[in-house]
Amino acid sequence: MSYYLSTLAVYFFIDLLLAYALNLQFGWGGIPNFALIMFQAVGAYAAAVVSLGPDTGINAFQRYVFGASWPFPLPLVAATVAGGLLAVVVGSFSLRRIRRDYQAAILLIVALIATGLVTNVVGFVNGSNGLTGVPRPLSGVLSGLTYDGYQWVYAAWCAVLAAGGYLLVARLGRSGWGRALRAVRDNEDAAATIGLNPAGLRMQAFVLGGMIAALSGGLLVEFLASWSPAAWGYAETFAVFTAIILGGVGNNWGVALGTLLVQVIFLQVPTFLPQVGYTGLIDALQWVLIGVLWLACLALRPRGLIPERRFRAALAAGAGTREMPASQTFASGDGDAGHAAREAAVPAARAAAVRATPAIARLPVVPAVDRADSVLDVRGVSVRFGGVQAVRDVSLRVGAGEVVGLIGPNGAGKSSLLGALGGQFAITAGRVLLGGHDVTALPPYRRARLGMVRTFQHTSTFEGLTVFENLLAAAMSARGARLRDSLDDSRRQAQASEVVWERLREFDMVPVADSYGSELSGGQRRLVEIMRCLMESPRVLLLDEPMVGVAPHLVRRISEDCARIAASGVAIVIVEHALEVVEAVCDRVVVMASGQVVTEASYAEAMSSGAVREAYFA
Amino acid sequence: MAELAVQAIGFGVVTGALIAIGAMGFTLQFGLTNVLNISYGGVMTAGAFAAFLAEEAHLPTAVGVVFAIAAGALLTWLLGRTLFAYYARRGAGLFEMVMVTLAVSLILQYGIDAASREQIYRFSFPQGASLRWGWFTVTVTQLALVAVAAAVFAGIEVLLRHTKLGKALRAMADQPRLARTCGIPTSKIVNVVWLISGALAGLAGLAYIINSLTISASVGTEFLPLVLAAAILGKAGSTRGAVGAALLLGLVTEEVGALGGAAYATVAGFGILAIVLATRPAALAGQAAAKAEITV
Amino acid sequence: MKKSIHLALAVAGVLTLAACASGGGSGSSSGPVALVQVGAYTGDQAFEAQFANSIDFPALYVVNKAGGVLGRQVSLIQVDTRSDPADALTNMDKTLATSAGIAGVLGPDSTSAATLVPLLNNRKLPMMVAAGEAAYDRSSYSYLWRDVPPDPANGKAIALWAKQQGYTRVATVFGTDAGSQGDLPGVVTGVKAVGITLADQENLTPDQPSYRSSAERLLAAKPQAIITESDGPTAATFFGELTQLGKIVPIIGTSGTPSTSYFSPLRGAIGDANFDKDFRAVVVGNPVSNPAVTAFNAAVLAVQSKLAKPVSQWENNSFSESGYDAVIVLALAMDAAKSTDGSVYNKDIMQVTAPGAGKQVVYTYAAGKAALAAGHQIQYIGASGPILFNAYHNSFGSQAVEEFPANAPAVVVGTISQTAVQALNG
Repeated sequence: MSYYLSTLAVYFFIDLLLAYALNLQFGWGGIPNFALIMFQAVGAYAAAVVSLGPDTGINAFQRYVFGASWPFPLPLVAATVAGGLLAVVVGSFSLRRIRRDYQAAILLIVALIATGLVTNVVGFVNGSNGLTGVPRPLSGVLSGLTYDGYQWVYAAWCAVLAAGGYLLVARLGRSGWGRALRAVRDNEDAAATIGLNPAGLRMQAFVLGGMIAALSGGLLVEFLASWSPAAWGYAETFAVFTAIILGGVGNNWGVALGTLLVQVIFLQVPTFLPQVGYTGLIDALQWVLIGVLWLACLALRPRGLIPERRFRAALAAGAGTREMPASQTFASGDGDAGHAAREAAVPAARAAAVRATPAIARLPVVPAVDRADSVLDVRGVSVRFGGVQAVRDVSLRVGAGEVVGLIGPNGAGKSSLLGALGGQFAITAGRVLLGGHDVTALPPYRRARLGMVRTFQHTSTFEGLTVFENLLAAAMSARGARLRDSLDDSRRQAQASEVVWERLREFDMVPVADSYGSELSGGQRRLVEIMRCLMESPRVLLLDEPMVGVAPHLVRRISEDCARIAASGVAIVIVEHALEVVEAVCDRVVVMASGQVVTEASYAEAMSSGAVREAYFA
Repeated sequence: MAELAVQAIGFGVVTGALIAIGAMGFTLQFGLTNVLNISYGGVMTAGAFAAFLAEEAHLPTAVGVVFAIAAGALLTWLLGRTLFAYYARRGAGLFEMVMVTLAVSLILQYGIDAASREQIYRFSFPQGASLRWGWFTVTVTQLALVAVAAAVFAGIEVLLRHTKLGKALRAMADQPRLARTCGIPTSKIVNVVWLISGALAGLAGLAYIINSLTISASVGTEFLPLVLAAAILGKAGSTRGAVGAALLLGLVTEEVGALGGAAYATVAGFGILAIVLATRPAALAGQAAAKAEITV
Repeated sequence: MKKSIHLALAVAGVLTLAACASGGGSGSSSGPVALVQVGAYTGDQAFEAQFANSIDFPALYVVNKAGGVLGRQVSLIQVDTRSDPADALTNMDKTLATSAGIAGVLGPDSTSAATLVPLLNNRKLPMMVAAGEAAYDRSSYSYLWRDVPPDPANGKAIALWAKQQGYTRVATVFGTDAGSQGDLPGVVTGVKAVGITLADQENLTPDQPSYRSSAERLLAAKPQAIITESDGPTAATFFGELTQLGKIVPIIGTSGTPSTSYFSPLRGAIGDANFDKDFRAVVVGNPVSNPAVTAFNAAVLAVQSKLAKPVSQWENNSFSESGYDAVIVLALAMDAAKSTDGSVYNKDIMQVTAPGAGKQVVYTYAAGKAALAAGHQIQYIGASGPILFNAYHNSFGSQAVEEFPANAPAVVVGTISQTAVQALNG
């Protein structure tokens, strides 16, 4: 019995490492890595080929590369490095920005290709026969131990590594890097607009996860002394997915629970059942059970038994936090239920608060700049996609503190122009200068770092992060999201948190600091989005139909906020259909139709000149 | 060497025909529902086994064919109406649906595996005489498979372009919401698509084992990547594209097999799929695509 | 911090459990005696399982019919490795922990040997290993016994036979699955060592719909004979296409080929006439005609309801015979030592098979048991011939070339001796 338990213990800790790797890649990074088991395999193979001797003599019956007889712990190092390298290679083409379902299919296919290559290129790692005779680490030094004792020592060693893995991922999860990663997972475009580099962050998560998975493979092969393609069929990845989906995606303790339930209990219990049918029938049905379990999890508890934890911003003074249960279905609804009560209680207090706080003084003031200089200079910009010319030779200048409205009928190219400015659409002709700096060829996150941020037509809060975290991620931005600083950034987080609290107080959003976007109304989410844009003291703010789906009283409030923001020196370009908002907020309007600028004047002039009527009804 | 390469063209057409049957079914399904249905492979396997069981029971060949088609159609329709519809109703996105289909694929493949005692069986089907034209050698059955694929393609073209049902289908694939408000009976059309694509899946599975003369539970998994590649390379929803892509894939895999060894033919096929998925412009639509609907 | 403490407690709890758990004992003094058959019943190496039954059931039948070991019936426990070393380990661990009376092990096989041999050796369970790797040619595991020759030996025997037949150019056609690939290195070495040209090597991914290009390439190389091992369907597809292309050459199968699941598809693909004329296999074990073979065949017929059809494939099947002998040897050793405890009877395995002056030669379990009860020393000669374990617990045996008429037992058409094989350096 002792052998059985020690073997299970070893497997559990190794599976735990694998699960943490997947949690990092999928739970936090949003990468559906259906090739996970391939990374465990590469680690196992790497550890095996460097710890075995050369493939001659006693090993002549198997063919493989290297054969370097490295002693413990070098094979584990080799395994980890191999995992990282493989992740870089695979990630370079499969982490591009594509539909998640295609991405999942690609990764699954990559795993199948890997199996095919290994099986058919026999000289590489001995094909389908696999490698055998891998020496157990420190068997010479520990030869005094009984077989049983050695197994328990090995289990303890795996436990130590698993604990280390846990500490690492837990630390990463709490860090600015971890938050930035989850922001990218939730909404890549919005993450770019707060200065985060989505591709870079995803690759980092993928590589880290790959290294951890490969380490687990190294540990496993040194325990089993052999390794072959049968041990890493593509279906093995599904067992890990089931473990983390059942236990709780994004939560390290959920993942551990899931691993225990699925890998240890669920897969071992059937072997105790009395023999039914032919030998191996019950084993074969295990995968069917995994599939059923998976379906059940997706239906009943898609977030798992222990869901990703809600971040609770510690509050020194002020309003308490209100608990809102997370939605159990996939769709995130508009959380109007419950907020109406709070809304009713707050307006009077809020109005007073706005009057009371010296708001203008709180917003960062752009260094004194001649307001005649344009912060945003758009020169002859054209945008073309498919066969459609969406924007045709548009020029525009916006100075610091100015609010320019873009109006016109549907299909006029307003959002396309905004997309060109933000960097989401490629500019086919013309240039865009930000404070004199040519940003035409820069990707969105670089423009954000230079001070140009935007909101989106569909409100783009990070749905898996609380309001506080949305703002904190923006406050820390790219500088606070560096991997190398992530292990010890509590001080930086504390400092940034101060700024976030100030902003929350100023916009009177403190009561919803711990709420998720799905628990807020449309207008509140829009406010959060705008606040998020402000965290980095932008120079230019692009607003894409900010009033869509916003309740009327909040429309007024957001308009007032826009005025305040402009007053502090930020240049604003706003696309909007609600003309009363345009009238109230904008210094100038630019009327567009069919991709071109029809006229540029003050609102009153544009209205009276008939240009607007022409544009809309031409 | 040159002779091998030229002969591979003939085999390529046959292989392309096999892939085309499966790809046409897949693309009809995918184009309309937007579900990247990995369990399609399991359905192909089920269809193949239905025919195999008919053969084991010594029923006439034609009955086996009918069994394969019926099994595929029924199984797909059931899955679509019950499981997929259930998760779609609960708001599953594109990726969540993939996970659902993966789970179903596990259940199908390993369920069939367990029921078939994890063995590989011999499947006998009359191959007909070997015919020779110059450098090409094909059997009568292989020619028949190509003819069947062509007939299926013709039939679907007629359906899509000359019937009311076809027009409604194309409308739905293009603009699902609009189609619903227009009074098109979307539910009925989805049913029809499940049945037709399922029938083609069953037929494709049968065609595969007619050619390989062996059957096991992993038939679908071996065949699916090529079918998937053809459907996506040819643009989701376009049967013309699927057939063209299938022919291309058949030729490429046979040529690689002829010049480099059978082992690398499979790897080449998979490799093409991965490249296709990673570079297809539709795949890169990013945000727009992420909002794409599930119509089930 | 709280979380780390939780984890540490969990680990401590597991370790405490371990300290309290006692190791399961082996070999109790009453109740049935169990032998464990460990092999790949499922997974991609499930070809091995088809032989397991043909070994176990006839052997247990004769042992139990003669009254069992030390008066106790012998039962069989099947442990499935699932072709995966990780599963092999847990399944074996679980079986050892939960089953009583385990006295010996049949296996492990190639996939699981590296993982299980140390475990079983530590538990003092004598094992009759079926793994052909050269790693066990000079094993230091005292409880490991091997009565089948290592994989390279078969390949060398095939090369010697090909040389005898006068071939100067051969080609190899092997599946890329594990079982087939295991035999390939020996063939290549052997062919080179006897001086035959290896004109072409084809490695076939199993279960493809066509191997036309491989067949074309092979014919272009003009071999005089083809040495092959693969699963049945692959062979059927390949050789079927070879026939369609108009040419069939003599085929020599390895020891891994004889079985209905291989012959039946192949016959169907190339036709009965061609098969009978051109197919031979070189198999390990030399099926002599001796009373042990008669006993084995009778036992096979007695338990035929438990074996795969047709039954004739098992009669005179050398691989099954050596497995059957392995079980008999274990049983006799237990009788000789009057114990089912491995640490006691392990040395008797050598005792009951080694020749020696004054020993009584026996060919069946019943005879051996009676002789031991009467106080004699015995030498068991089995259905695969004399079993001569060397210092490393390896027994090679000679090999036979056989042809396989339909629905009849195999016919020996030639033999290759153990000496000839060992003399072949390479």
